[in-house]
Amino acid sequence: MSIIEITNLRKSYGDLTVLKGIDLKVEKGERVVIVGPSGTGKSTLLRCVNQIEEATTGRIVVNGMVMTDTKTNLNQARSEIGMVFQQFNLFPHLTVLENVVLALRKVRKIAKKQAQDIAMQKLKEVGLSDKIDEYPNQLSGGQKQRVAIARALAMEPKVMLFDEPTSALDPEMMDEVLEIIKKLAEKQMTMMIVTHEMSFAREVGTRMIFLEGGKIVADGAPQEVMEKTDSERLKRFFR
Amino acid sequence: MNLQQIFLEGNRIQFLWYGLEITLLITIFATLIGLVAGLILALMRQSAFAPFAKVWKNFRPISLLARIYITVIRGTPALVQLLIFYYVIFGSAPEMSKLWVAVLAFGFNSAAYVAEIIRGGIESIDKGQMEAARSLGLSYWQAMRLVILPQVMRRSLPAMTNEFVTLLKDSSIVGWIGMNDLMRGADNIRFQTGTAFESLFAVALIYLVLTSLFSWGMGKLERSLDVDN
Repeated sequence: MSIIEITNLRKSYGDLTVLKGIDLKVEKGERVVIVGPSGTGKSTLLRCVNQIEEATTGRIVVNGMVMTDTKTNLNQARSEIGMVFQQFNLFPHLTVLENVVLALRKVRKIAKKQAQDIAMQKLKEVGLSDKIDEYPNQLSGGQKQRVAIARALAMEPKVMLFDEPTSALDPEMMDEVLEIIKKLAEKQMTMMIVTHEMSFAREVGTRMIFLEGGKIVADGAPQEVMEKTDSERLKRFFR
Repeated sequence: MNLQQIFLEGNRIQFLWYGLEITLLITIFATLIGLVAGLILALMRQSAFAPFAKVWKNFRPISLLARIYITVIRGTPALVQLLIFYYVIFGSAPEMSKLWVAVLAFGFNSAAYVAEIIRGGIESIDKGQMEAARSLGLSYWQAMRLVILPQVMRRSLPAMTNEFVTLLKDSSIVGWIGMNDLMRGADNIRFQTGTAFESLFAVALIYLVLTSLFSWGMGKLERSLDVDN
């Protein structure tokens, strides 16, 4: 069974329909990059996967759990799906270490000392061992995003969702975040990534999905989607 | 009459001392009730519970209840509320101490204002905070308690300070139910001595010192908590 199975997903806000029937299966270890013009539903699609955004209709199964079923324990299901946001969304009233520890303690119910050890390890992996006692507002954008990644990874998720992880960063800080995502890719983490960074998308993705007008219009290896497309629309987008 | 005659003769200063105690007791206990009840009200107001969502989407009974309460309390004078508490709600319970009637009346009055302050605070927190918390697997209530409310409390400290300064000053109407608070203490001196200037200015000065001290303390607390913004 695929690790993510999306069947006929639709999402509307009142009269505005953003996703118009998405069918998508993601296999374990796949790294799906989602590209396409702005306002086309890329982020909405990603946010529906962990039901931060409620699907209007359709069925979403992640790690064998039916996210669209009201009987599913969504908190449990979400704790296995890491998410990284464009605006980092670190908790400003907590230190870097506390940001990472919070869900380990309160969701996983891990003892304090052990949770801190896990958090330290993850922060070390993103190169921020020396920042554990600082508050988010003392960090640069790139550092914030690295803490956010460590926070998600600490839960040992089976899937990672990246929602434009570098869009709010200055170019010089982008690379430090992209490097960490590439390292994750080397470890065969299953990922869905919404991005506008085409060279990064091509490098890290095993598969590219082009979304337009709320539908998947191209799906294949990044190279194929970017270069061998017949569509004039896609050619213009990638130029 | 000189100041010594006005305040010290017949130990009249005791009116102020005793009154100060009453005023502080009412303010402190009403503040505590206001905070707790206000928080509960604010969370009720945020409630999305809609038992008939299928046919009646906008009917959220818990939220509606909170909104009605807040509207009624904020839309009527505190004095009217105090008299209703004393003569109507506890009218048939004469053994109930006036102090507790006043504490309850001011506490439930303050709760409505506190609820609006907290609601404003919750709405001012970026949506991404709740989303990030939920994406990690925290429940709605865990996210509220551990992520949203701690930020709200810091952010609404100045407005809370205002609210409790107002409460302290508004408690000066408890003379209406026959309590000898600070204000009534000054009045007693005014009656006994036939002078208005000294007693009224004295009590005004005491209120001013109390509110200034409180604002100063809260200001210090605010600055010591100001790590995020």
